[in-house]
Amino acid sequence: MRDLINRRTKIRKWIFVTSVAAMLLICLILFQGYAVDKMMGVIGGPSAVVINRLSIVSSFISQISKIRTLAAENISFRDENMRLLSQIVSQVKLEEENLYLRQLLELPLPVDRKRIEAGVFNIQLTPKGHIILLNVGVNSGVSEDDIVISQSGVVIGIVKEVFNNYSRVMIVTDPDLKITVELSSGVSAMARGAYDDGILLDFISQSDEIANGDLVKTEGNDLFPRGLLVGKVKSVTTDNSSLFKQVRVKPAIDDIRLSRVIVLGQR
Amino acid sequence: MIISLFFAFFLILENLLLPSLIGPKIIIITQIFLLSIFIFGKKRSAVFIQAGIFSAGEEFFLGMRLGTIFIPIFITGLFYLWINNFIEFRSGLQDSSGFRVVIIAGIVLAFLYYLYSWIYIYIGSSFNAMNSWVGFMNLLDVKMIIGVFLWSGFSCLLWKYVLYK
Repeated sequence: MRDLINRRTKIRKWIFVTSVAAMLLICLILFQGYAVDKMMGVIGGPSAVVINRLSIVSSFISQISKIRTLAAENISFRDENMRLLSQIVSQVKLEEENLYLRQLLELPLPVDRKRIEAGVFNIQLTPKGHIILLNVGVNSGVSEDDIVISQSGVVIGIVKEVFNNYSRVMIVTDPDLKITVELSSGVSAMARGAYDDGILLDFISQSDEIANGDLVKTEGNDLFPRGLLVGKVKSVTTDNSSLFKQVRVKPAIDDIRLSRVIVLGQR
Repeated sequence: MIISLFFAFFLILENLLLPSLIGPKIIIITQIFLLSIFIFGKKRSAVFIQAGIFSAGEEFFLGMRLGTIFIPIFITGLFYLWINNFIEFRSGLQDSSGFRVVIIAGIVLAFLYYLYSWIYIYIGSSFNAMNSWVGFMNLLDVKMIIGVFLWSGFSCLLWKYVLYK
């Protein structure tokens, strides 16, 4: 009897639970749209605020990461810029070197003379004349009486004293330096320095025809090779009572940069 | 101290800056400045020490042998001070002021520079009087004389109105 009662109670419970579940299912199916709408209405506002705040935080985080990336990019661009700048500098240096070598190739220099590149680091006037100091000496193969010219073929002077690491050069405006020269008109003469007056030409007879602007080049009868530019005739004074003309020459050394020179060694 | 600074500045100006700007011209600042120490220097013994240190510094800077500048400067200074035993114009040049004094000091300084140059050339040409005379004659060019006189005047003005004060 008791078993029967228990079985009935169980069956009633099951029917109750099933009917409640069925009712809930029916309600859910019938009022789903409405319920969702209501629920969204309740949680929509706060969640939108939360989402908005979260999106700000997320955009801030992404900005930070972007800044980090930008900084890294900036560093790499700077490195790139420096690399390109150094490339430009080396290219300019190469161009200068190229020009220098081209000019050197075009010079009428004897092939059997060694050429030493040098830099000028001091120009001085002593009572004995104008002197320049070169940054090459015995260690670089320079010896006394070597010729110093510019890369454009202008005579600068002659090495008078050589030390281990530097040498002293007497330049063309020094009165002690004498060079045999030839003018563009074919006249030969002896050039000697005259300090600020430039260069004077000796032994030009009154009958020799010389005009202002005539080029003065080395003749090649002394230590200097033939065809190097010495200067340009500046003034010619004719005096019939004198045996020779007085000719002043503007040294070409005045118009060149004296920073880089070539030392022509002996044969 | 200020004299040393001026000397260092002139040394660089004469041997590096001006020649690289205008080329090899007549620029004689340091030697004239050194000689003016003898004219405007206060104590006789101190001027030799000062001139000695400066000339040794210049020799070092110009890559010259020791004594190349110092010996001619020393002899010239000695000559000037010796002359002053007979004709006392050192104190007159130091104490008086005015344009006339500057001109006279400029002439004295120019004369001392030429004396120094002759001694320099004479020693440099192995004591050959004839060769040194030929070399010295080159310095008697008009442009050179004007250049020496102008630099002397400049040095006198500097000493009288800037350094000697």
